[in-house]
Amino acid sequence: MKFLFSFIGAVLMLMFCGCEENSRPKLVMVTEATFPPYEYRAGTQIVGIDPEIVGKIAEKLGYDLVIEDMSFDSVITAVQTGKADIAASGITVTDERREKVLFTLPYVIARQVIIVPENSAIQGKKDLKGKRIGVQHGTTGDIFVSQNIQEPERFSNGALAVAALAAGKLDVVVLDGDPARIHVSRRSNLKILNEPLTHEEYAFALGKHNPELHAQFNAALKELQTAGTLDAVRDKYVSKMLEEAGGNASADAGPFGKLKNSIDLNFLKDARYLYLWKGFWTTVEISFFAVLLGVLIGFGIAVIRSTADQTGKLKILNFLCKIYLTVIRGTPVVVQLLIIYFVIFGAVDVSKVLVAVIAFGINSGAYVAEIIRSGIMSIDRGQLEAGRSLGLSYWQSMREIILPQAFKNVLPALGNEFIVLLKETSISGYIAIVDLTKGGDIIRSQTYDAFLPLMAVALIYLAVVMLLSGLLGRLEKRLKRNE
Amino acid sequence: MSEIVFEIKNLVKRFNNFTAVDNVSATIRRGEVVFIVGPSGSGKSTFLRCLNLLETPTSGEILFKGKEVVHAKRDINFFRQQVGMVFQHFNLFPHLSILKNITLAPVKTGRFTTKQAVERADALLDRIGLSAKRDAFPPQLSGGQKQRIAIARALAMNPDVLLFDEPTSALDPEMVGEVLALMKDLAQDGMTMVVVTHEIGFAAEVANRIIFMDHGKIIETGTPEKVIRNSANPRVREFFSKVL
Ligand SMILES: Nc1ncnc2c1ncn2[C@@H]1O[C@H](COP(=O)(O)OP(=O)(O)OP(=O)(O)O)[C@@H](O)[C@H]1O
Ligand SMILES: [Mg+2]
Repeated sequence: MKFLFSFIGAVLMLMFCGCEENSRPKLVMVTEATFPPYEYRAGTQIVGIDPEIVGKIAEKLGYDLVIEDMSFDSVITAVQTGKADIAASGITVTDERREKVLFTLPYVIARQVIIVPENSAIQGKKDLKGKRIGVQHGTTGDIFVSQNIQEPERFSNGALAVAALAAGKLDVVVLDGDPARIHVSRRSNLKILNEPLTHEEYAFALGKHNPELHAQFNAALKELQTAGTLDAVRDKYVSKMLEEAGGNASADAGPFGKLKNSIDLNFLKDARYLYLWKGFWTTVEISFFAVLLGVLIGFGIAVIRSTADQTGKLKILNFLCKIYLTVIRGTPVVVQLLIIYFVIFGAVDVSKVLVAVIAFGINSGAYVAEIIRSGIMSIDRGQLEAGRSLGLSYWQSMREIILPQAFKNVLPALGNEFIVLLKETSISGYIAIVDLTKGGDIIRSQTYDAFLPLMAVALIYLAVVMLLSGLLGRLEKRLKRNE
Repeated sequence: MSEIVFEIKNLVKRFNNFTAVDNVSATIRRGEVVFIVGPSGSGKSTFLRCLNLLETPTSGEILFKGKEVVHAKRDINFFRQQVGMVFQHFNLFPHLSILKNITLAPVKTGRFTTKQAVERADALLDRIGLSAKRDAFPPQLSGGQKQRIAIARALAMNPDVLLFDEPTSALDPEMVGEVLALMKDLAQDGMTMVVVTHEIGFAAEVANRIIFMDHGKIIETGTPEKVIRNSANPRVREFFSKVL
């Protein structure tokens, strides 16, 4: 046990110290890189209109730009809590957001447009009521539709919403004009209505605690605008996207050729399989250390709880354990993850993978604790009595006699918990970790293809789970051999 | 007379409001083989379990080799190392080999080195004729074999006294003999033993002394001859007339 503790401690230290040093001050920009042409991934880089403009400004002001990818619904919180310096994610200026952050001057006037199938009867805004409307979660389109029309169906990115529209699951999608043009250019059966739903201004968001940086930013933005740089950057990315979209659409082939093209596009082009590969290892890393942490916590709590039950000692500790179990098992793991990231580690610069390990470890610990406790309870009292009657202490009896048997009894349940944990880590994307699921998301956002990336992600999870089940089965058999 | 191993004074054990052991006093000397008999529910097991503090007495004193043990919580593990216990249901450790069952406590308590413990275990296994099962696991053994291993496990600590709580009542009849034979062997070797049993014939044959309990009290104590065949107490006579 002691060894395990120091081992985990060492690993955590390593993860803490992962951050490198730099001579120039860092400027941390957060964005959700699934919103082309404003921000998207090309290879390992995050590129687009926002990164380029912010990059130019950072250069002017003498900063090293660091870009972090996280879900759009978190970027405002990130600058608000000081986790990041600037949010640049095609953010529309609204009064609500103005209460939380300082907006720069607008750098783009964007339209929210309406995408419909070619043969749709929908003419414009007035026809939307009662229709199935898809939006990207947290975007202006989402807010506008929610407030002025009805509850929309919210998708985590635009590509998914458009895919749902193309598949007939929606009647209309409301999306930002530039990405909408690209989506539609890749699908022959969709069109954009001429009349936009609403106009809006895009601006960068800074924390309210940072008025100096805000002033410097605005000055730099003005310079770029007068020099015509803003328009040039925007034109460059929009036309680039349109070109690529055109190229893909023209690929004409039979069913097998189509599949091959699709594989090329989703996995081979720009080495996109790397998103899955790296994401997979991140998933494995998080799961592995979270399981270790969970088992450690679980064992500790199970022993405390059953000691309290059997001897009436450790009352206060037992009470604390009960609170922990109730809270952890009574709240969703996503919420726990977000609280640990934004609230508990809100002001500290720690590796996100570490945060995920801690969150999933703490979460899993609660379930492991109850599993192991039930294992301890299932051991005949006579075992403890035999140990004690031989002069072994309570802890010696626990360690040598009770826990090994309890562990063996609950191994199937524990194995199941580990499998659940592995799959639960798929929400790591909420704090902008590129795990396997998020890797698939990124590919989808680039290729506008939902099918293949999702299938690939599902198959990888399935393979890992089957491998785990197999290994556990063998371990169980080995432990059973003695009976 | 030989040294006193256990001196029990006014021992009381209550469960909630039920008095299972009611003001019992007794003395056990080195080399004595004492059998405790009596009707079911009379407090025999509870009394025996108090002797190694598996039950905490409600009041009274237990002196082990002259030292008070009930309140000396700090030394409880050391005290128990000197008092072996054999259970009705054997309570072998199913996840450990027979050898490990026997050597676990001697090694972990620091009473013997691993080498010593293994040597002692092998000698004990040889003595009880189960050397062949050295590396087997408890689930692979018959009931009689399990109980003999449990006795060897207790002996491995080299205790001053062995407590038995109905060691044969969970066994099939054809296996009772081998366990009783081992116990008789131990008794003849001079082992101090306190045995709770319903095997009256065996008690009559092996016991130096019989303690008869009823309703938590000792109501008669003496030689087997006196208690089993010639008791003046009508409760005792009635009991033996039924079981013999
Ligand atoms: N942990 C306990 N809680 C409550 N009552 C108990 C407990 N253990 C024993 N008793 C009660 O104390 C009384 C004496 O029990 P004990 O097991 O000592 O009897 P016994 O003489 O060994 O009987 P048997 O011959 O059936 O084994 C019984 O009435 C029993 O129900
Ligand atoms: Mg009994």
